[in-house]
Amino acid sequence: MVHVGANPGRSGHRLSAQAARIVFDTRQGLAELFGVSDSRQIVFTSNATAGLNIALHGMLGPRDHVVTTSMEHNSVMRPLRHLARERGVRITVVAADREGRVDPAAIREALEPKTRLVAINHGSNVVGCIQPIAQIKEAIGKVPLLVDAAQTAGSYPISIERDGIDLLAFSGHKSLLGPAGTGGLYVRPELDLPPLVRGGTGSRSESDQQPDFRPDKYESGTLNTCGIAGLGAGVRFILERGVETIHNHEMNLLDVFLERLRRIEGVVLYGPSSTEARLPTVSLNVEGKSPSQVGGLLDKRHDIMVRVGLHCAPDAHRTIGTFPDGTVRFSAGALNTTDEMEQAVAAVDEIARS
Amino acid sequence: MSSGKHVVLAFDSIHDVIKAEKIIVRHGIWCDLIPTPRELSSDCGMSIECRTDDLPDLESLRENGALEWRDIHRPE
Repeated sequence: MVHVGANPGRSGHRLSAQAARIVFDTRQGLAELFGVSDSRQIVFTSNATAGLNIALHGMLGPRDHVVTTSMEHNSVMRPLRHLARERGVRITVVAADREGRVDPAAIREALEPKTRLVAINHGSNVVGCIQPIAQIKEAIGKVPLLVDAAQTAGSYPISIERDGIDLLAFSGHKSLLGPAGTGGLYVRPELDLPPLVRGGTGSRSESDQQPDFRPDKYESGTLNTCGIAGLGAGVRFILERGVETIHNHEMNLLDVFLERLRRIEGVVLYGPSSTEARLPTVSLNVEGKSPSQVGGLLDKRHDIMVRVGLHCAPDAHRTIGTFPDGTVRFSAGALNTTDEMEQAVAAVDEIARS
Repeated sequence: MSSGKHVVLAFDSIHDVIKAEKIIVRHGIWCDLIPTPRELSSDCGMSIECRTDDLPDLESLRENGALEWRDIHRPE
């Protein structure tokens, strides 16, 4: 990549071709990771939010109905509230239980004749619970399913075609181990989804109409080739190690973390109590201290960086009973060690005693 | 692309060009990526040049679904 500063598809020279090969290989790797047979159905975006916006703006027309959950991130809820104002889109929010889990039967019961989309957060960025997307798709039948996989991509197995997922947005900079500013969207081939942005694609240059073939239809303007190269390296690492292996490693870390945290007096844990169907994301509070106090001490005294507050998901915090103060959120990844988890526990213990 | 010894395969998108290049190379067939010639009006910026002698092999790959192209240009 150091020697390939060219724009894929815009010129006929060898550096442009090499840039295009890098983009192609990353797209192929993602297709393999997500169980997609034709990688043209995966398009690159600047982050998961951009992918979610393409999906929501493209799917929901005037007075359409959408079903979503109380565990969604603002990347879904804010576009939906905007579409409610601008297009009269009607939103039904299905409540999750206190652990953050959503019942597929409750999603089915919320469907109406004009339901055009069901939008589900695959893994919660607040408490780490995984929603059963295959069962949800089974429950909703032909209604298109949009999965927000920002938290799960690279950390939890995803099988788009097997599970019948219609749209899936992912971020590149989280468990896919890519740089910030990368992400993408899978669009089922049969879906006639208009693009959100139109412009130059390097293809059909003689026409002033947006091409209707993928991936160009959704990829106007110069791609983040450098970022996509980095994302490709992350995806290769995950494919070599295996997403199941990574998930099992993360669950071992989570086991150690939860088991030791439970012994500390004054620590309140939220979300699922077991490691079944979840991510290594843990929300907690320390009695007598605000999340921001705890986060500040972790950073300044212990060199441990966590995110505190509402995590861009106010409804999720209402669901688990932590609105408006929020929580302290820890998350582990493929490259963390048991030793690091123990250090984090020791830091929380010291803060709880202070 | 100067004589009848070569053909040019054209594609919708650069994704399709790179995909086809990988398949052609994997089958041990010579090819080269070139700027799309003006004779191919509707194009993406790049096309694939192949030897005319290899055309039967390319066409059989296309028939069995391994390879796809949108258009083919055969210079006189």
